[in-house]
Amino acid sequence: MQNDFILKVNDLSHSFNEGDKKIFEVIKNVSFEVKRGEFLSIVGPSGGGKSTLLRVVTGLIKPTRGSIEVNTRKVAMVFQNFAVFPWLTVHDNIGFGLKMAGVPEKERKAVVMEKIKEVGLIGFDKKYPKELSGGMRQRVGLARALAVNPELLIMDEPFSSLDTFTAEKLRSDLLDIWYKYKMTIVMVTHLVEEALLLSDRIVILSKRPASVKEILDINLDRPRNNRSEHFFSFLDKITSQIEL
Amino acid sequence: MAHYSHNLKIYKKWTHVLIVFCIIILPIVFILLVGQISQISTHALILGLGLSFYRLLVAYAISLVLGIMLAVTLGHGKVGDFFVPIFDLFQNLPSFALIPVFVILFGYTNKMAILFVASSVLWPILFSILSALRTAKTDYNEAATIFGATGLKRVLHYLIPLSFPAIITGSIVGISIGWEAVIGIEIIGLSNGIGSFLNSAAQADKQLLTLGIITLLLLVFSINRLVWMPLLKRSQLYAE
Repeated sequence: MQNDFILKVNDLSHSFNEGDKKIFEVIKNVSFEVKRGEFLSIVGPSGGGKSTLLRVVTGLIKPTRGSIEVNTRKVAMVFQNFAVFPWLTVHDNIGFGLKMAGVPEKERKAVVMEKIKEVGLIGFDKKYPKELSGGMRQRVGLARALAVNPELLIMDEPFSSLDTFTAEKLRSDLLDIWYKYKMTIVMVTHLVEEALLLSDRIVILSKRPASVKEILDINLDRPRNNRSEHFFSFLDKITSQIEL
Repeated sequence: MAHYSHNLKIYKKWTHVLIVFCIIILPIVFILLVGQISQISTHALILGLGLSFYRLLVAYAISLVLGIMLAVTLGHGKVGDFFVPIFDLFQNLPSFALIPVFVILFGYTNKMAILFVASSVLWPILFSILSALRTAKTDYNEAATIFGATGLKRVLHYLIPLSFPAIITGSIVGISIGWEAVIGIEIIGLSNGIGSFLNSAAQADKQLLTLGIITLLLLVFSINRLVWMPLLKRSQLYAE
């Protein structure tokens, strides 16, 4: 039955050592599970340890206590500030993960061109990130993640550095991609509305040190209507739980 | 830096040839022309300049490889916190103070000159790369890790491109320090190279001295214009 869950976080705590015996606790006894194919969002106040939680999940940071079970090796990540490499063209940025995995050039190119089409970057493959807008850079970031065909896609505030219109367009494109591939998505955000528009379930975190306040099933029909009464009642419910 | 060849399109192929041509041929043509007109023998000047340039290039190559290797292996994290102050100590040592040590080890030889020059070219390159690696955005490091850049692949496809602008600026400073070092050591203890040539010309023939300095200037200028400026321009692409 282990395959029901793609990710299992067990009683996780994390502290940063700030030298001189000062310990700074950011995550406290967090447990949750992520089902295969679901879209799960983690919301909580800014600076509350959400990003740290993602970094522990992806193995970038070793947790102080607790454990993480990841039942796939195909993990990719999308970053808040895009983190696309300025020295690579759009094409080479998207193909980076494949190149590291040793995928031959011809095969790689085919995948990259497919992803370029999917995220709407046709004609930009030879451009450098410097020549692109923020929204387009994030499309590169998304395509780079999709190119490795991830089973688990981790997203750290992926739309927070973008203007509202760009973010809205990118969100709906992300949903289309998710409907198509049905990979698991774990997204961190501080925007409750964004989480409601996208996710199957929402994990609400407390302020630092972050612990789970509630995990909500969002049983709203898709495509979601952010003007419906039901939507607003969810919005109120979650917003009232987020401590500032 | 063969690894860049596919995406570092500063020059097209034919211009590359032209550049090499300019760097090597321009000063020589200049010397020969002046020599012809003013009826002075310029053989020694050409040989001397060539030899010094060769020493500098070998020293630079050593420094570049060593600088990248040291920065990449010992530059970051806790290891870096330990090693960087040590590097800093060595960097602060006036390089000419090391001449006696090099003389004891190698005598006044070509090898000694090259190693001495390398010992002063290394530091600007190393520190430039170190600061680039140590101030790199965490995002980039994480993206490289997540997308599988580990071991040698991380060095070739992430750390070196990341520090490319730093390699260029470090090299520009390094090469100018290198000219000082090579000419210095030639004046002090060697009987060949441009330094030694200028030194003896100063006592014998002021015309040759002037010609020597102008030629040196021409070489330094063409390297700067034809090699470093385009690379520097290219590295601006890396800034967001």
